[in-house]
Amino acid sequence: MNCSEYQFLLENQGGMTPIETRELERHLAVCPDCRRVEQAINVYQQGIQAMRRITLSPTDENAVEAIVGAAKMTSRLRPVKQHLYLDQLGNMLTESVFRYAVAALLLLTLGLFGFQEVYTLHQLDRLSQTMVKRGQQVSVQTHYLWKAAQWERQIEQRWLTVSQNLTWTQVRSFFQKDQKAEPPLAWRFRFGNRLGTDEQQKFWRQLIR
Amino acid sequence: MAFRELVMLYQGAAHSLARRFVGNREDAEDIVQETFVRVWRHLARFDLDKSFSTWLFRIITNLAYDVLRKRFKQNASITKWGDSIDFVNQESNTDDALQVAMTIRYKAARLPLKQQLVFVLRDLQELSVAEVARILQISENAVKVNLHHARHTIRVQLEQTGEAL
Repeated sequence: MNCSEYQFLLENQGGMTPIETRELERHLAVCPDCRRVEQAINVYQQGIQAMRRITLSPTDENAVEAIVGAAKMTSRLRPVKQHLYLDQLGNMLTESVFRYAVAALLLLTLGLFGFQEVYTLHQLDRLSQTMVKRGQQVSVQTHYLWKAAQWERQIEQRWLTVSQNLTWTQVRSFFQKDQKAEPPLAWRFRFGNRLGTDEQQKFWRQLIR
Repeated sequence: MAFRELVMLYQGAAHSLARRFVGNREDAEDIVQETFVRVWRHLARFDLDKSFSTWLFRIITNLAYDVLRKRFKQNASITKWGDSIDFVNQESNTDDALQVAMTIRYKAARLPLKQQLVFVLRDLQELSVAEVARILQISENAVKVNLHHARHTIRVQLEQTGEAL
């Protein structure tokens, strides 16, 4: 061991083993630096002991009265009751019933948000339809959905019996005629995929031509 | 228990701790009074499962810290500590021990504030490391480190001045 380790032992003498004690004693006998540190530690401990024995303040009845008076005279007494209510509320929230209530409230809030989300989408859908009817700018897809409805009405006006819903083939034909291009494949799922009858196909051919 | 009884029970310990922190009677009395005013105001919020003395000591420590910090800024700590000799019970101490005690107090007043608080709570009030950690709301390791530095500084200064040897 070196001097700093011996000095560490000196500072923590309570926890030394007999072997460490003997080693320390042997080292102190030959090392003046560590002896000086030991002496300083002893002096420090004596000084601390002396400080602990100092009586600082015997209980003073007048001082007690002054403290009690100051505490009760203070105008800040009212918050005690307010804090009490807050604490009671805090305690109530730790009860399981209140936890369930809070959880239910949370779910209800989330549900309301979810409903609002769905309702908003529905409203947007209605709005886009209204805009199409007014001839305002909307997406291409929405535009053709609306046009498909118009085509359906045209077909009905010509007293032709066709399916109430346009098939993918029909929509595709209309799109190709109108845009000179293939419609997006994703639209396919928005319309029925039935092939029309021969009579219907004849009608489409005439219409497209 | 009436509030008066509570004050009577803890006033001595509170005053003793406050005085060990700040060194003079006037500041200690102010701290003790403010401490019990705070106790009165916040007693409803006190968790009865916890130690009252720890809570009380924490309030005192916080108030003392404010006083010491203010002094530190004004560079007035040495002057304030200089008058602390008046309350020493000289009969219970030999002249040498008393001299060393006063030297330690003087040196302790020059320590960083956190070390001062740890030194007073651990070495003078003889509280456990865990209690000191709870009062100061720091880790036990931090208490040990601060205490080691405080003791080392005081001891080295005792050696250097040669007052103790």
